[in-house]
Amino acid sequence: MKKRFFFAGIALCLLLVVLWGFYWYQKPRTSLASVKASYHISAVDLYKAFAANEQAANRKYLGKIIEVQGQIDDIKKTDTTFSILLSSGNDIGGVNCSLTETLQKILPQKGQMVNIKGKCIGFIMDVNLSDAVINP
Amino acid sequence: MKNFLLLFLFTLALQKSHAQMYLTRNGYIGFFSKTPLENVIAENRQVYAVIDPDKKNLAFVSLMKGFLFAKELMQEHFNENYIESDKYPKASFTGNFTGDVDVKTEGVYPVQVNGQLTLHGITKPIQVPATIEVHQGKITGKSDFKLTPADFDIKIPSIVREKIASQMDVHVLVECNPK
Repeated sequence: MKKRFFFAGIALCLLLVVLWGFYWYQKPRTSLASVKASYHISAVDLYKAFAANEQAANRKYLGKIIEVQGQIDDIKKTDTTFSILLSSGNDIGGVNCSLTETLQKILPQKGQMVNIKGKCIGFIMDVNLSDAVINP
Repeated sequence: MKNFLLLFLFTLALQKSHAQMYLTRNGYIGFFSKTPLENVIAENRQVYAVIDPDKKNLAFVSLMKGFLFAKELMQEHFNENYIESDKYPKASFTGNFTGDVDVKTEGVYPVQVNGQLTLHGITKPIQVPATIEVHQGKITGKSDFKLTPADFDIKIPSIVREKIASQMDVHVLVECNPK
């Protein structure tokens, strides 16, 4: 009798491990909408940090969720996403945010001031944020 | 040297006095792995590309962390184990194309693209067919080709080898605007 409980217990544990593994394996890339930002910074200051010292800025911001405030310089629509370029105050670069359209509540406009939360993925000409959402 | 070249190209692209260059910061590169067990798709929509149709030069740069997967765990494994994006954050391509493209005449021009692809810290020459479309003052570059991760010393552990194809289908689509 005791033995049976023992094996049932082991089987249950195994089942839980398998389910847990399956859950993590299947877990979709989550939206950042409910994730708290690690940093709040203006687009101008974020760009300056990367332009001045990319390595140091990467150490601080890379992979982090950042909420950036800035003015919309340009909007580009693609098939499933749109990209917003926040002005850094100079012509060379800005903050390039890639947004998933279905997650957006408000449609932005050029020249508008917005708060955009996204994951910092690095720097090429602009600071790049992916999986971004506009914060109201 | 490579970074200098890219910077040079991008800087040229931003100077109005120079011959017409075409630029995008929202280009698309996607790669697809198909096996009977699992299909994997990763897409990057923040690819930087410059095309100079006069000199027939082109350059691409993308951040490895910009490749997004449907599953979080796959994206994590891609960045941490396979492509090692903290060590090699960028992929780049510089090269040129053969074939005539007339930016004043709308149409689709087939071209052959030759150049150096740097991925995972390894630079290899590649040669791929592509098309360049001239439409409403924009230049759209498009190419589909195959890449073998092993060529770039990207190691796929045997435990997942069944799920990841030995060759990836790569799609490139860049819609560049005059700068």
